[in-house]
Formats: sequence, C-alpha cells, structure tokens
Amino acid sequence: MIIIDTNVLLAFLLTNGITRRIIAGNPDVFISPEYCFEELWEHRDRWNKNKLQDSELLEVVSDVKRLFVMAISPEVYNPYIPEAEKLTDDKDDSPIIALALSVDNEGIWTYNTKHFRQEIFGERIRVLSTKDVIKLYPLKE
Amino acid sequence: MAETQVIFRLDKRLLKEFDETLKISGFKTRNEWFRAAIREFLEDVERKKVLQKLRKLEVKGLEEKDIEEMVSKWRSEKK
Repeated sequence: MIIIDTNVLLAFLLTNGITRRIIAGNPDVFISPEYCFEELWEHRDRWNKNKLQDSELLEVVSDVKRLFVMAISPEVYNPYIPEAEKLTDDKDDSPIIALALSVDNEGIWTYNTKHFRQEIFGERIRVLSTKDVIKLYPLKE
Repeated sequence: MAETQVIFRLDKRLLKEFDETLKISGFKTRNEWFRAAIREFLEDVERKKVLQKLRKLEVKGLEEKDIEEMVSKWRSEKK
C-alpha cells in the first residue's frame, strides 16, 4: 500500500497524466487519510475551475474514494498524530505521517519533498517521488 | 437471495483445463469464480465511467509543481 498526499490526490482529479495512469492502473494500492479528502473539499473553489456543482463534485469524490483511493478513518491514525507532529514543521502534514506510522505501507507519495524529508524520517517512513512509484508499480500499456 | 441459473456451453477440454486451474487460483467452485469475475468486471466498468467523469474536472497544462504550489498556498494562508 502507498499513502498519497493531498497534492497527488489533486493531480489525480485535475490532470490526465502519469499520476492518474498509475492510480487507475493499480486501484487496490493507494490510500489516503480522510483528512486529505476533507482538505480538498474545503478548498474546492480554488481547484474546481470548471465550476461543477457541489452535488456532482461530491459524487465524483465519493466515487474516487470507493474505487481508486481508499480514505482511512481518523480513528486509525489519530493516536499517532503527536508522534507525527514531531517529524514535521507543518501540522497539515501530520495526518499523512501519522497514517504512515499506523499501517503497513510502502511509503508516502508526495510532490512536496520540502516538508516530507527522508533524512528526518530515517528508515521508519519512505518518501516516494512519482519515479519511485513507477519503479514499484510499472505503468501498464 | 434471489438467484438465477445461467447455462454456458464450453468446449470439454477447455472446461477440464478451467477446473484444474480453478483451485490453484483459490476458488472452491465454478460458481464462486463466476460471481467474483462478474463483480470484478462490473467494478472495472464503474472505474472507467468515473475516469470519464473526471474529464469534466481537468485543467489543461497543470504540472506537479503547479499543484504542489496550489496546495502549499492554501495551507500557508490558513496559518
């Protein structure tokens, strides 16, 4: 299992590129904390450039949760938040780090390597770039 | 559960090969395999439909760094 950050989730929604191909080709691999979906919803006016109605947008996000990226409930990762906060300067990153501490996983896939720093995580959590994810899950034809 | 019986015609040799492979794949019966195959097929079709719906959200020309900047911006404004 690979944990995905809000920015990767957003790329899945907004771009028809490599990120979407990887996730769509491996629908049982990716998970994300419920927090990331809530964050996306809270800021929908910023990325919903094509002005879809809330009802339609909600349906799409629910479908994505059900069929592509499993949303993990806070009950799973909340106990690890205090530990996660020690590993980041940005509190918004802590649910993702906490999830990585709470379940077996292959790493966190993010575009933000400034906040998710391998040297701080050591061997406990692996930070994955898109290239790393493709090595683990090669693109299908 | 309301059930419907489905009858298939299949080459004998192919059916024999299928039966031999079935248990190796972890299925106890042909029925179990058939139900699983239908569920998988329907999920696959559903996924394709959602990918079609996602086209309505697409923004041309966006790259990883633009998306990363967008998320970082809303996070920094919150603080």
